[in-house]
Amino acid sequence: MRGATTVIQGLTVSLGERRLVGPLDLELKGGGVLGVVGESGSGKTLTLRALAGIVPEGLHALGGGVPGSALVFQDPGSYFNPRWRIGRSLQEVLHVVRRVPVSQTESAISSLLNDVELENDDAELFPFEMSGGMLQRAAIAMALATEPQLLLADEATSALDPLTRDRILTLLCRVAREREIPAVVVSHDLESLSSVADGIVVLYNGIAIEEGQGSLVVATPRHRYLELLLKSRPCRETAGRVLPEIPRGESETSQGCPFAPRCPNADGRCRTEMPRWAGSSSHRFRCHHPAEPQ
Amino acid sequence: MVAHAVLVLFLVATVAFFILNVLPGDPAAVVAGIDADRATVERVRVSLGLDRPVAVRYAVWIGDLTRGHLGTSWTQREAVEELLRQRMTVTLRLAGLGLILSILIGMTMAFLSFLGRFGHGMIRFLEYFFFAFPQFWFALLLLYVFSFQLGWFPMVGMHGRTPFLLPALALALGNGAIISRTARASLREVLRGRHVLAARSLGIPEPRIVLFHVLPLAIVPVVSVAAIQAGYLLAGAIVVEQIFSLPGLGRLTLTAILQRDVPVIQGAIVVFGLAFPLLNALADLVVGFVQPQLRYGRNR
Repeated sequence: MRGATTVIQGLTVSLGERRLVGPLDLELKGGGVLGVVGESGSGKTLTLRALAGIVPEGLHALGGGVPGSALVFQDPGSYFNPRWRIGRSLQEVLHVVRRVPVSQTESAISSLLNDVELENDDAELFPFEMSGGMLQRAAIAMALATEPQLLLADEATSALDPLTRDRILTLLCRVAREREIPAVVVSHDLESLSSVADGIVVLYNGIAIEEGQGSLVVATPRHRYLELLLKSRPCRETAGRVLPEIPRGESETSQGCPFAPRCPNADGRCRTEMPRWAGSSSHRFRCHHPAEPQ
Repeated sequence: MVAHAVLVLFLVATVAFFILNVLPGDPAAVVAGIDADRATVERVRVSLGLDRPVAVRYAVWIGDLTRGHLGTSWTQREAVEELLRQRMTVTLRLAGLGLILSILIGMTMAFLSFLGRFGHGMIRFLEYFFFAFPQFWFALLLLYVFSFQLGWFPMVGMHGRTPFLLPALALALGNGAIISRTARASLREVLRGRHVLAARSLGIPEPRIVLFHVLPLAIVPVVSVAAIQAGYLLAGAIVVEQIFSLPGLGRLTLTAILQRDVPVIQGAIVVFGLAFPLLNALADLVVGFVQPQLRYGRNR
């Protein structure tokens, strides 16, 4: 399976009749890192959960549940059994999930710790004794301990300072490449992600509206939403005014572009007709009135 | 911890002494008997040391206490600590079994409540039922059903192989309900925790998650509650011992109260008073074992 490409087609998550995510088509290349970007509530986390096959109770997911997927969470401190030292937690996964004999777990633990740039002695630490960055490394080691076929990181870097964030992102990419497995990294930090990820998917209301090579997507955003999102960094002049608020009371259009109710360029067609994919294979988007590349 | 227990012991001993010594009535007259004449009562008063001032008697009481002596029973003419020691085993076995049963009952109920909506409703009803009825009512009910009707257990006293099972069960039901409530809330909290989701996503089997990742964390509040409840179990044992005619601390204390045997009452109060700090210390040790954060400072 190593190096192979996993194709996900028509991934959806619904709550009763209401569709929260999708349908979503994703191509996960072995050794490649796919970044999923979007604002809060855009369905990033649900997409990952659906890929891992653990959606919250009451929700219904289709097309996901990739076997052998391992998740890394946003808040790694609560990811570990607080009673156990890190080494014991790693041993649990190695022994119970991978059926490694206990006598051989020690060498496996130290090689996993080295993989994520932790010291052998760190196995003796309790989770509450580690810093955020160390915890996130340990969480990645936990995920790697399962020998995953797919590595999923859910806002794994959001709680970290910028320097540590880049280090962890680089680490995620490196381990995915070394193991030739695909990784999906979810973040709302488009800039950091685009510099390390091989591909970027921009989600809005659970629907992909733009995707392609990270550098291209960030340099020349075509969908109006992404264009506004990239402009809406906190800044005194434009504070909070670039991206219009979600209008209250307006029901989400089920046929049209999901961004139409907020889009300053939207017309009647946007509200009734979902745009088709346009652009090239390295950068494509769905917008009736795309921004011109500068 | 030790200083704490000593302070509690001292306060309990002092309060017990003064409450019992300012009670109206003449203990010497009770001990001497209803028919005794004035001279006999006076002789008894001197022989019990009651002719000495209260301050002197208090000093003697505290002084004896530091040497582990709790005085001499007025009616049985035996050292109080010896009397207590003889009866203590019965009460400790009863309360101990009661504690074990209440934890078993409580934890079982808590787990069952997670088996669907019906189980949850059933368990909530049982909790109220067990908690609302007093221990002596359950004692009488159990005695009637299992001893009188079915004849599985002895009616009175220390006969048969399991004389403690029924009285311990009577003690345990109400406490089991409290433990179940605590355990239910705490299990729900821990099950919602992220490390459970993480363990699940990593492929750890569910029974192992419950046993190693949920239970050890969920029992922390249960241990604290159980320790407090254990003290009340000792108190409840007094009543239940009466119903089942078990020769424990409870019967000793009750007899002593009826006979105005002040040294025995004082001794019993001190023993019961000491049980609470001891049980709390025990609970702290268990919690420390479960939560590595609390051990941290001492280990390195």
